Amino acid sequence: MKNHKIILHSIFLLAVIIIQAYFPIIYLGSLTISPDITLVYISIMAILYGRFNIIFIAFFLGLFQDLISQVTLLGLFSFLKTLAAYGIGSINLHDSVWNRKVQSSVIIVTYFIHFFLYFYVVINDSASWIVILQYSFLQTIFTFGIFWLLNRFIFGRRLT
Amino acid sequence: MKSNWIVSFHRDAIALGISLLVSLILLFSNKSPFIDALEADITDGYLILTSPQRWYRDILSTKEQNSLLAQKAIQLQLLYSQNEHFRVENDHLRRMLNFASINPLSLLPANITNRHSAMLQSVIIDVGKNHDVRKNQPVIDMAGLMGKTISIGEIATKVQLITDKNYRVSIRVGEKKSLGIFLPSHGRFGILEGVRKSMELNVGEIAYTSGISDIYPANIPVARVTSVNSNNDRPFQDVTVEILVDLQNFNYVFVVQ
Repeated sequence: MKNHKIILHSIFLLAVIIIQAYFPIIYLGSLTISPDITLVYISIMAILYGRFNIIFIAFFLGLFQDLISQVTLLGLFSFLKTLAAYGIGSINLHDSVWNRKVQSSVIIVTYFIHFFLYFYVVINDSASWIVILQYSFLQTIFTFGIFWLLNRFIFGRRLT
Repeated sequence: MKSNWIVSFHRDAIALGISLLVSLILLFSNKSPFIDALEADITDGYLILTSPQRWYRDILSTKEQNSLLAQKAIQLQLLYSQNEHFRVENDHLRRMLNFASINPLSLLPANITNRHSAMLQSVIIDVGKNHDVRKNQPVIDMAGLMGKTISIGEIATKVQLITDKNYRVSIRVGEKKSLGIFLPSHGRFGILEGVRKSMELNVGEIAYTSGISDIYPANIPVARVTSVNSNNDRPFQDVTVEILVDLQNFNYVFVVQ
């Protein structure tokens, strides 16, 4: 039974990586937005199963993302994904205490911190706070949009 | 018993601590041979994973590319006849001046396989050790410099893009070919450092690779000057540039060998 679950989750994990690779980029003027599917997956898993195991899954997913997309900042995504998993995993702990609005706020704030820290490190211009905020804000909106759609239509609002 | 309770109570925090610590170790020492080898293997694996994507993108873009190439072929044919004339004249003058002939760049065509980040810092191309690609070879497209090879797998290579935070390239710009260093800032913009105030620089001028480094041959276009400011208290001008390569719409690139 346990093996069956492990295989199922491994398939899901592989599917997430493939979806992330194939997911189209959204062009908004000069900005390019690419919703972070791995972050959505980590959020769902952290809410459903708590944060202990998901912290490690998030670390390895982040590391994979690092190995594909980073050159000199290897470890950045694994750091941020781990933090995000810890933050969103707190929804599972406070499920009966926090209402839907609070839970959604926790997710949005965690997403924003994740993207803000990422772009703060990646963007090489100290005078471009507006650009960093623009990217962080838009990435948060699109990524949360995908989470919201999945929660609404696939999970029947069981997540938040 | 008590220690078990403490461990189970704090296990989330311990897991977080361990993961963050490992991430930070990776972040501050990510150029070990083990990481290099892992990076190359993952790059190869990713190429296989995204091969259907390349296949359908190839089909979709072939027709469009074909008509563009036909148009380019006619233009180039006209240029060719003109250049042929110049070549003969050039050869003659070189012989007179006893100059050595310049070898043209040897280019290896490659296909981009990934572009999943909003702020691209690296891409994967479908050539590797099997195609004699080595580390630190320049990658260009028709518009100019795109980056350099970083991690080489058997069939795929990771390319550090010109937009990467830590990318630097020595350039020459302006009529006097003054030296400077190109640094990316954000999006498709960058800055030129070290351009002295005495050098006259105009908006629209192109910065080319200087040829000083061992990696880049000279005269590859890098960026176009978008603004120049000499009113500062430093000996150098503030020069903002726009990268020539369109990093949102590329498919085919060339590795300079």
